[in-house]
Amino acid sequence: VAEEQDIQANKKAIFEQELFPHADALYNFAFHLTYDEENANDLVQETFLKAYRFINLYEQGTNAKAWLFKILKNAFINQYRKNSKAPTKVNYEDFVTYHDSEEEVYGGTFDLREDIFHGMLGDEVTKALNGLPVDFKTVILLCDIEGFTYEEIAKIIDIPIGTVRSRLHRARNMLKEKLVEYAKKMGYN
Amino acid sequence: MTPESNQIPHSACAESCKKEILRLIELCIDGEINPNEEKVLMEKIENCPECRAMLGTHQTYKKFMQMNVERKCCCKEIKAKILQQIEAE
Repeated sequence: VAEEQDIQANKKAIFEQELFPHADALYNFAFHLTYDEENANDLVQETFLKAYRFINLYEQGTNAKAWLFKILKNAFINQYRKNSKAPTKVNYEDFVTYHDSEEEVYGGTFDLREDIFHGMLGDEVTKALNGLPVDFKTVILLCDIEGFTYEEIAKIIDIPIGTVRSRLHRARNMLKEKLVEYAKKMGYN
Repeated sequence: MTPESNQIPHSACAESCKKEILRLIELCIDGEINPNEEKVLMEKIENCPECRAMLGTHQTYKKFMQMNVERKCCCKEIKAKILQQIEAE
């Protein structure tokens, strides 16, 4: 009994010291993926509960944040699978596969003018980001917002590093188009 | 001859060269560039004003995204609920 108590206490200590401090970053990721507070809360709770139940799979002192983001991403895809049963919903995996070709990777020049950023507010960019298809939004969130490396992103979303690079490039070009569109509307150009 | 006239205009770069520079710029802003690639990029940046401007735009984009995209925080109630759930496990 004492040994079992020690194991439980150790699990809780790892949870509180290494996993729980990432709650805000996880929520931010969940919110931008779903663009809905309630769904984001559900995803974060599900992620932490799963992480705790499978904490024996977590190697103490390794990248807890990346491990949690992977769990959340999987929970999000499962949510999508459930939703895709409804006829009007998009099937996440089909969509991702369609866009994952690595051909013509470096087309486009990302020819934004620097001064566009000066007149733009964060929530305008947030809106543009949320308007991207989910797989493109995901790589931008992981790389540009959370600062994960290509290798970490590859592990989190289960794709090769080359695909991370090409998807990130495409995602930035798509975001650029939205920002230019927005800047034109606001008379920045 | 002025120093400016030594610089290669970006329009003179071949399409394949532009693509390669763009690839290197993205690696650079993401902190994924290796020393050899960095050397190639820096040489190009020194000689091509448009490549330099393109690097500047990408660096601004990266900083802007990190600093200005709205960050949401997990509310206290949800954090407390999670800790309760863990306690009950």
